[in-house]
Amino acid sequence: MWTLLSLWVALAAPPAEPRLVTLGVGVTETVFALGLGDAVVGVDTSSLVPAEATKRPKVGYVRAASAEGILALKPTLVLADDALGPPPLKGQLEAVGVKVVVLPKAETVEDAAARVRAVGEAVGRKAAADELAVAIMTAAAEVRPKKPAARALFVFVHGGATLQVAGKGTGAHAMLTAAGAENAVQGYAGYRPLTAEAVVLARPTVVVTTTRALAAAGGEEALWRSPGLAATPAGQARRLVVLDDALLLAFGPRTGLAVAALAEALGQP
Amino acid sequence: MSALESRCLTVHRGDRAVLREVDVRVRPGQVVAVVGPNGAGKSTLLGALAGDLRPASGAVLLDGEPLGSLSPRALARRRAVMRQDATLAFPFPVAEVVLMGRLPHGGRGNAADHAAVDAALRRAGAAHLAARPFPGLSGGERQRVSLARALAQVWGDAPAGRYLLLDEPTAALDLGAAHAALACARAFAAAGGGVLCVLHDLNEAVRYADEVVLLGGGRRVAAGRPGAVLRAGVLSTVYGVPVEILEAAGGRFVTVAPAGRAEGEVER
Amino acid sequence: MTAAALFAARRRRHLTRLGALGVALGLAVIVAAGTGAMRIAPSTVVGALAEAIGLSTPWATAPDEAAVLWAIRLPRVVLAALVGAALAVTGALCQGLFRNPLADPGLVGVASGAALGASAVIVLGVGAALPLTVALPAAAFLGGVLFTVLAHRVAVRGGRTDVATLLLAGIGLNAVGFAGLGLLTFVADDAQLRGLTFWLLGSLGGATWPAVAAAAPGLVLPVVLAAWLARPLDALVLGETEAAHLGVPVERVRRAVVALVALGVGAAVAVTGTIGFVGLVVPQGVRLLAGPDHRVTLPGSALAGAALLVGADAVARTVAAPAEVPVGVVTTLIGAPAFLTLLWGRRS
Repeated sequence: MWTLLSLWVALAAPPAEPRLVTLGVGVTETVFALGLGDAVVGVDTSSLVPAEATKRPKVGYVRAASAEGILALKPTLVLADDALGPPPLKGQLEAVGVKVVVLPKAETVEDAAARVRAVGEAVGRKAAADELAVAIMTAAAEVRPKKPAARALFVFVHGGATLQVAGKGTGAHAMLTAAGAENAVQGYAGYRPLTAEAVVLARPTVVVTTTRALAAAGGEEALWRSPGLAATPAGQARRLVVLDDALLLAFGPRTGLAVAALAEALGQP
Repeated sequence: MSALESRCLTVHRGDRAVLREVDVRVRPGQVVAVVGPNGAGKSTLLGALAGDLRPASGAVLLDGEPLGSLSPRALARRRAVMRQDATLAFPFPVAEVVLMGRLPHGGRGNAADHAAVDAALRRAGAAHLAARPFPGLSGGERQRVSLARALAQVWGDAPAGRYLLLDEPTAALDLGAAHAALACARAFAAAGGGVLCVLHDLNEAVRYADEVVLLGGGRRVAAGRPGAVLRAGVLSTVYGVPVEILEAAGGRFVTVAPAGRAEGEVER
Repeated sequence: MTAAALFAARRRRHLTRLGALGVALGLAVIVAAGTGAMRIAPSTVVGALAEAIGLSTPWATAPDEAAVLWAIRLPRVVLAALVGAALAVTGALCQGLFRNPLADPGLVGVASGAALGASAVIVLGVGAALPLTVALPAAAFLGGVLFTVLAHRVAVRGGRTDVATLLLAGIGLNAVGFAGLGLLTFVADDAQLRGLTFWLLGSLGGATWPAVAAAAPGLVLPVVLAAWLARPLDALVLGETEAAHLGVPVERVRRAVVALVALGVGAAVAVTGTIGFVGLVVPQGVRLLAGPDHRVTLPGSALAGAALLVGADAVARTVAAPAEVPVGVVTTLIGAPAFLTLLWGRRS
């Protein structure tokens, strides 16, 4: 059976080595996780994990990638998340005969698993991708939410007088929910600036942010000095959870781990 | 009949009438001077005759046709206007500025245009300025170049039946240059053109004009031969200062009477 | 010196300067066509171009290289040339109309209107029934034209366009446009916000032959029709009243300039987003090089604007290859210091 299968794979595989250009952090990470890292000849600037990926030539940000830059890498397949741009890029690449696969948007744990499967299908690693997708779902399902649920405020960008926070319909909201927390911001959809008064009214018991957002805020002390934040239960208890950007919001192969890590951090007093 | 004329011309600025029922006529071969104190409506009259201002009532006719019935280009071929304080947004050389006067005639820069530019520069006493950039000129030099541009517009081949409207052409000029400019206007009239010229200096009007129109408070106070219009009594009333007419060297000169010498001193 | 000799000397000077700018554009096109993330030998470029016009050369062109050249690089070079020419010529027209060498074609509200149109598509999903590659430029173009028409409406009094009011109306509409843009930025989600940011930065990356063909009439017409406005704009340098005395139909010239600016800048912004400073700085430079005569400023601006944008885009494509820098950043990095130097020089 295995012999037959490998024979089939050998026959079906393109004669030349595959050369992949991957755009979008979750997509790139998935391709590496499927063991095809050596085939990746170019990535976009958001592809920061694994560290190995950052050593590949950069073709620009996924939303403003360079058609000629991608073609110069002579790819056999271009894999990108749904943000691929500028709008005519896909058509430009296909016009010169390069295959482009744009993967569906992923902003929940289920989306992440589905996208891993889609990537596996596109690169011919279906079995490995299925395994990975099951692992994501399993890790997330094992989370046992604490009662009562933590009211978490996800701080995305800190700039100026108001905090930029995650409302409903965001990846951060999905992660908080999956980790058994309650998003303290329910009246908003999307990432929005929140006034100091609204921060107080949201009564978060914990503040969640990413490594880069915290650095942009000027560190933990500076973050707590943000208007309104000190007056919240989270501010008084100084409860802050910081996770790596690419772990928390990539919606790639480690999303199951991310949910577990977030749940654990939220569960700690 | 050949003339540039206004008939019962009233012009408003906003709600205010700045010119009331004014009749003026410039015939080919004539130099007509428009004089009067500040705010009398001299520049308004010139603007209306040039076609810049729409009459509230009355009409401006060029050889019997209302100005409004002529296309801008047809009008530009028959009359040129020189206003005060010419400024230039970009540093064109003088010869190019004068060449712009040829625009209504095609202005492509052919041999006839070049000849007209040369003649106009020479007549206006600005030939030596031809290659200089216009913005670098003094006020008097600019005035000569503006005159040259107006001459190039209407004195190319045949000035007959064409009109020149000059708004204080001597304002920034020294004695000699002022004489040259007005002599040039006279020469244009002698060649068959008509000139209407706003002047501040009444003595220039006496010396160079065939007819004088005296404006006061937006109305035509008097019009006719300089000797008939420029009389001490009427000038004293219109200008609000005691005026004397002196006769010397075979000419007549208008001057403000020294204090204490006037018979009927006017209230200031 | 007689006028004839003086004009002949000026004409020679104009022609040599225009010739030099033409050569500069030719060089820029050849260099830009020959450089990029993909290494394509100059002989291949020449070979491919010669083949296209039916000449055979000893240089073989690899099919994939030729494909990249034809499908990706050449439409981009052509679009850069057309957009650069349109922006620079409309800039020169605006400066002539406003009688001010510091006027920018964006003054009449066209750029902010286009930005608002584009953001309506990106954020609100206006025209979602159409493909984004159609809806986005169409909305940007319509937004730009609409804002210009509005500015012009405000400035018309008694059938006459007041240029000073036009300027103020443009400033007012720009404020409205940027407030609207701010509002849409607030409403936008993270992804839309990033899309909007990249659109605003301006890029020629979306150049495809259909896009070039769709934008070409809007970009080429203002450049060609500007020729008829050269002499009237020269006369306008003397002042609006003086131009009217010279028989120039001043109101028609004003309307023609506003229409051509709306068309040219609208089309340029529609296909490339906002590319700053070309319209402001290029006519200035041409005037310094060849003099203020619009018969040389207008064609000179077309050549220099095209050369500048083709060159700037080649830089944008190659400095960070295989990634690229937004071309609007490159032109602004060149243009803004040039503009400030110019202002500095005008202090005296």
